[in-house]
Amino acid sequence: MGIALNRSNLLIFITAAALLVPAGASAQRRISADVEVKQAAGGKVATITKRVYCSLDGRIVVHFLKPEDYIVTSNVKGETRIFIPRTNEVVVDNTSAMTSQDELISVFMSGRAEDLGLGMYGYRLQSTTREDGLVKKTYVTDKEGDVPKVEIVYENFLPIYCGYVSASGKTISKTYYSKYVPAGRTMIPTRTTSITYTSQKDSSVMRTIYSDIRVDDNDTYYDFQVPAGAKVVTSTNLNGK
Amino acid sequence: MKRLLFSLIAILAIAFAANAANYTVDDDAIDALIEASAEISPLEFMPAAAVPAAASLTSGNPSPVTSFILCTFLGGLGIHRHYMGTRPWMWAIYFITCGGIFGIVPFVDWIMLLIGLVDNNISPYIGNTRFFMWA
Repeated sequence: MGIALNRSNLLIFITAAALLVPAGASAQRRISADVEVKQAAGGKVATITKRVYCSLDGRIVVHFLKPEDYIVTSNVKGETRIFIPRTNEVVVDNTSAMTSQDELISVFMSGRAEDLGLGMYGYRLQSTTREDGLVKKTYVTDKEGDVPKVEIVYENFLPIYCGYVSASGKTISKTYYSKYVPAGRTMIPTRTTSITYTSQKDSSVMRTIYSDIRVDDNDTYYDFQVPAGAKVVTSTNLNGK
Repeated sequence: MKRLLFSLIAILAIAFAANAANYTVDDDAIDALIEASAEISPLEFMPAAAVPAAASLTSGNPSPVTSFILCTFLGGLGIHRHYMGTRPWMWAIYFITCGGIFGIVPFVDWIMLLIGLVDNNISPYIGNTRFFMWA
């Protein structure tokens, strides 16, 4: 009886392992989402829509749908390709400046939500304080030309606010992260609002909404490759406009 | 004009609310602002009051004032770069980097254009095809 029970347990264990281990091993290797960005200023609003495909290996494919159909691929090495279907052209750039690793979903997916990816740009943690039950971390950089100080506020370990502070101590841009939803093992904000203060009276507002978030789906865009016949455009044969 | 006035009031209200609440923003006010704004293409997005004529975009002689104003209002979209002449897909780069690496790039652009405005010389940035136009 005891042996039979053990065999039974063993069978259950093996079955469960067979079902769960591959699922776990492949869990959350890919996340995609629709992104709608609206920027308002001066009574006008511009909309950009795109679908973002992020893979755990750092490859990101962004399919811009509006205002124009562009497909941008990039990887962690900064190799970026912008494919323009209308003209069947591809722009190739290998400068790390153009990497799209700042894509918010990628930041959260790759575990860089702690500093919102600031570490990649040379920011270091200066202090951690508590305010009304919230945790506030201050990041600084000495790099000339960069905003010297960035403050990130967390609620339940999730960033809810990020403020850029100028050398004079004035907050010049604020971004609010809200409406978090689980995406696999990650929590992702489905709404961000950025307010950039350009003067005492003026500011511009950018609202970004993430929807239709899919984890480990099989969309072919994850593996998008620029068509072999696309005309390669480089900086040397662009006329600049 | 009413839309512009409403937007200005809404932006001021949002700015005040955001300051008062510190770490949260009034989503309803943001939505109302966007709903009340006139929808246009991002590539046509420029403050009408600030830019004398759309024709100036193709005149080949970008003005320091207009460049600075476009960067002020629309830096996150990289519109100032297109005005001054750059690669046709530069706006996409600003977007895929969350408004130029979370707004840092347009902020530095803004400082450089402010200096250019004071000196009345933005020639290093005209036709500049680099992502970091000041580098």
